[in-house]
Amino acid sequence: MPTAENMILLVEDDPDHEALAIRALRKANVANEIKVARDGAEAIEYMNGIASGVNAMPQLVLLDLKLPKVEGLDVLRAIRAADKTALLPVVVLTSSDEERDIVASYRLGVNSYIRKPVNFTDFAEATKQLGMYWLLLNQCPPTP
Amino acid sequence: MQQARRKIATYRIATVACLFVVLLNTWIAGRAVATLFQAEHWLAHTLEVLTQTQATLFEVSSANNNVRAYMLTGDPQYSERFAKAQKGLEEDLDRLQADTSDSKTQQARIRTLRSRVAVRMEAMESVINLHRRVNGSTLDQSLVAPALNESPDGGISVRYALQQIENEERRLLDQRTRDASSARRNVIFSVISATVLDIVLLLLAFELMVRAQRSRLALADRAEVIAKLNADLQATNATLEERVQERTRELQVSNQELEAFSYSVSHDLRAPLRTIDGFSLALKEDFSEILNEEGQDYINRVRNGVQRMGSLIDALLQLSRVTRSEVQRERVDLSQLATNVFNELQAAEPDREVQWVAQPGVQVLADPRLIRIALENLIGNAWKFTSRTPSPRIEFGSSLRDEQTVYFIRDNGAGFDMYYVDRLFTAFQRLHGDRDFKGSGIGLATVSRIIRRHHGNISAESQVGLGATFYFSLGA
Repeated sequence: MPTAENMILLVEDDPDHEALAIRALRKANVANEIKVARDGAEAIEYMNGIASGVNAMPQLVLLDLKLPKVEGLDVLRAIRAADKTALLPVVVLTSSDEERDIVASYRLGVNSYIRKPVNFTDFAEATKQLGMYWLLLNQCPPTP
Repeated sequence: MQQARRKIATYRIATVACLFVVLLNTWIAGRAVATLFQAEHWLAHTLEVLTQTQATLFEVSSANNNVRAYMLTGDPQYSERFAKAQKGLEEDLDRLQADTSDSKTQQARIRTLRSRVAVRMEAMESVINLHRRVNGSTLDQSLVAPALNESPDGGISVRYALQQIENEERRLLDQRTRDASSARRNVIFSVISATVLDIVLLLLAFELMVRAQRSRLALADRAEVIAKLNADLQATNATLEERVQERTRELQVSNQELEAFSYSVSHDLRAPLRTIDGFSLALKEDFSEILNEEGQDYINRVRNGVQRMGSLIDALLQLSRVTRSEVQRERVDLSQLATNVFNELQAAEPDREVQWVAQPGVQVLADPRLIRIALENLIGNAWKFTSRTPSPRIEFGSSLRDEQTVYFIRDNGAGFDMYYVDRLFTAFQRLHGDRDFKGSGIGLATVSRIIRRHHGNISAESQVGLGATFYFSLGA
């Protein structure tokens, strides 16, 4: 099974935000490999690839909620439903601070919910702390 | 209903009274008829007695004549006839006695008559016997005469006795004739009056029946009208219900649209802003060497604009959320909440020195989250508009206005012109330029919506340069 140590899967449909997120992570000295899925279907396809042993298991998934084709919440549901990825750390990173999105995400077993601020400085700060916490401090579950 | 019941009771009483009157009439008429029958019976009886009296008189004179004839002719045929008359007389007397058994005086008279008849018959018999003994030779008339002729003395006269009886019966006949005719008159009178009364009652009953029928018809008409009205009402209700349901559906649809709208505002309007902000910052960070001060200033202005746009979107989202969420009232310590809001503002800007005065222990029933947003906006405004005041002061409290408890936030800040007070609570309407005080123009619209959702009212009083007071009530 191919493994990519400390890989991050970024599920983001907006290429600008993808670039900005990668920039913020790099600025925060996160050197991990970053794979990008550009919509929900692609993300689920990647997850299926993990289950069949084709794709590498990421260390963290950064998930946008509002995605084309398949909604972020459905991706989350698929991740939690599969045995291999059930314990995978998932952080929702989204523009929405609607209560129902927050509640639904936690119901489906998200590990963290972060609202992307408009201000990029704040966003960069949030991304930095995110990387610090989830990639350095957090102890991941053993790979099944 | 009660009137109808009373009417029915009246009809019943009237019917019973009519029946009673008719029965009474029948009884009176019947009695009159019975009296008439009795009177006529007595009349017939009296006539019979009179006839009998005449017959008796006839037999007496017949016996007398036969005796006389025998005396003259000596023919035994006359003596036989005498014997027959004597026997008939006996029968007549018996019948007369039986017929007058109702009258004591007549009985006494008949007894007298009987004794006189007996005396006469005896005298006649003796004359006949005497004649037989002399065997055809002529009798001395002087011997015979006293036996055959009526004695002049009425005291022993048969004829006289009979006359008395007859007189009595004639008197009775007169009286009974009068009685009978009076009874007849009575019968006619009572029958006529009973008939008239019955006819009147019948007419009355008919009238009552007609009236009852008429009122029944009127009731039926009214019932029909009521039924029609009810049907109409039900139809209207059904339509109304339908319309309410339709409106509710429309409202739900428009609410859902609104929700979808604000949801996409929260996602889609923010995304390009973040891009603008992110890349302008990248530009500033990565290319600051080739950008002069002016260029950097431009980038800063771009980023400021983005920030303002972001906070506008946030305020709009808050406004729409206030409309969408359900009001769930709980007991809230408004004094405590206001103080917390003030403390947060103070913590964000620790350099400012603002005096906070709060009336303690003000308790209300309100949605804690919504009322917090309202207080944040009101106290935030006061905080903002006192930023240029020399010893700023913000006050929270409650008071009575038109017998209603109102809560107020008062400041001694910039204030506003009361001329524009109507525009105060409408979204995007601002009384101060951004140059003086920054703001979205949505805050007070949000507060107004929160208060309205609590069935309360909001108002403001101010004077330019002397601060402003915002009053709100929370309804029931």
